[in-house]
Amino acid sequence: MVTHIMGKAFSAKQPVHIGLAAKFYGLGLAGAQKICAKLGLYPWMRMHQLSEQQILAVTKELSELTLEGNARAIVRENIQLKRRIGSYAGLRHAMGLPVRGQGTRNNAKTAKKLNRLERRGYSTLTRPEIPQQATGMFAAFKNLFRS
Amino acid sequence: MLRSVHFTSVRGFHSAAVLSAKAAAPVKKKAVHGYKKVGGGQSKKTSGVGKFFHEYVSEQKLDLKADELNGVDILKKSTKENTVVKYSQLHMKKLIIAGNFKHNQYRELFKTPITLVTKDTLKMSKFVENSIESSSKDNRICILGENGIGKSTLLGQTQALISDQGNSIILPIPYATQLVNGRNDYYFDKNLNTYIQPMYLKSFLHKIRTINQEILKKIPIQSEYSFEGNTRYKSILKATPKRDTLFELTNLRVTPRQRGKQLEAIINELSKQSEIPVFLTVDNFSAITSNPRTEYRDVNNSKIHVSKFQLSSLILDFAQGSKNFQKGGVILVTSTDDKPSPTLYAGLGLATVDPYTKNTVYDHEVASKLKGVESFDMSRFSKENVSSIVKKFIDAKIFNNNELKSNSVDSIINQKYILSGNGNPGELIKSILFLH
Repeated sequence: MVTHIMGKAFSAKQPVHIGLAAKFYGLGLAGAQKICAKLGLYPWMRMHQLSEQQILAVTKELSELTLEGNARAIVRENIQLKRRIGSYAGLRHAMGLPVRGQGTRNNAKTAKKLNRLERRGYSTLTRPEIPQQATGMFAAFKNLFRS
Repeated sequence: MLRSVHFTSVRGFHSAAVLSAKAAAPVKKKAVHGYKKVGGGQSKKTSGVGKFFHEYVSEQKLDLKADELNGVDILKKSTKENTVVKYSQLHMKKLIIAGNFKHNQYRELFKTPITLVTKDTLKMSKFVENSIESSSKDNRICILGENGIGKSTLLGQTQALISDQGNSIILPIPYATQLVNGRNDYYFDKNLNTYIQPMYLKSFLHKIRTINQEILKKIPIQSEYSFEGNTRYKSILKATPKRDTLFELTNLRVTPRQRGKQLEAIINELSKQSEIPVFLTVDNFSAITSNPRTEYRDVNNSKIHVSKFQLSSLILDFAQGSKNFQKGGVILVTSTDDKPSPTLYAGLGLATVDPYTKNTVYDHEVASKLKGVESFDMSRFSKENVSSIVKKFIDAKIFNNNELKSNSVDSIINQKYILSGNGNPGELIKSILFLH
């Protein structure tokens, strides 16, 4: 059986707090536990045990939070701001390199994967994925002149 | 047409392929009454390998395939020390319902599980004898001991001895961890001013009802109680004096939210009566002392203290003696599964606590409720005890043939005594089963 909350499908036997934290960008385990505590759902309640009123109550709580696209937009705006004011962190983001003083002699793979002006947000979202941004020196110059 | 429009306009939150599938044509099946016979019919092939070894073994009903061991008497009050005994059918029924048998006890090795009467068993037998005549306030005991020493087994033996008394009631809580680990539902009952765990109470009330069925029918209730009914036809359920017994009170199908009230009524009636001894047995009690701040959270997302839950608070009150049965006892059994906590040992008076110990480590409220509880440290098997068990295992053909051929029985006993860490029963069984 599948339970649907805000357009997302959850496996029936999945614990509510784990399911919510896994499927919504911007909501972690602590936040999900907080919602469960507020609504009186017991800590290891499963998705299929939710009544319709409880699902509506969870939906209401989620709708009051900054999640998914809005949460991603905040991260993106912060990176854009750093770039706009000409900070070093913004430059490093544009170059796709580590921001906080890490070495780049080897690897720096996480930075190459994530640090870019249009930062990728891990998710289960429905919108199309952000196109791959090229890394390296040429790409860095190219990215520098992007907004 | 109208029907289809109706269904498409209402969208459920839960969906499944089964729900949207077309209903299958009804198949007439031959009515089957009673339980399925063992070995009868084709067994359904399932994987079963996804489980842990202990779970897999305990659920395969291997005990039904095991041979009956001859020459083993049934456990009685008069059984002498160092005798291997088995449980009677009545014992087995009660112990299984009470949830006494655990996965790691290897009871599936025998058709009827065997157990050894040790000096600890005799001590518990005396404890039961005393409890039958005196208040539960004077008979509070906490069984302690290392991993595998046989604490839960001793509780099982005690429960069997209690049930032999005939007129005694057992209130079994087999796994107190379930009260604090957040796996059961909860809600705050404004009338009782405590948190109630309806799902757990359902199984607890079922255990009380089925284990003590005959005895509960002998106790007439003294006050009148009314509850909201759980059935369509009876909105209010009543238990009235002179008409109903305690069995009727436990058997009422009340709404889940009224189960707390029902339990309180049952405890109230049991405390009032003075003829029948009542024993509260709690296994894994250390879960309460190790986790006084439970996994449950209130609306402000802070952890709820164990004393705010109805059943946990009831256990602590009986342990303290602020609530008591006129005849009976309280038997608490610790477990090494729980992290060691100074709360238990300080409460029992076995250790002193540094005044600067953090609240998260030492809970004074819980510890203070354990004052006056007698601690009972279990002892390991003696060499004679090991010898008795080993001989029974040889009789039951559980031993490896090569091991038997290459060693004399005496040398095997000596080996097993050392391998079991000088007489730890759990280690002894492991050394017999897994070391070849």
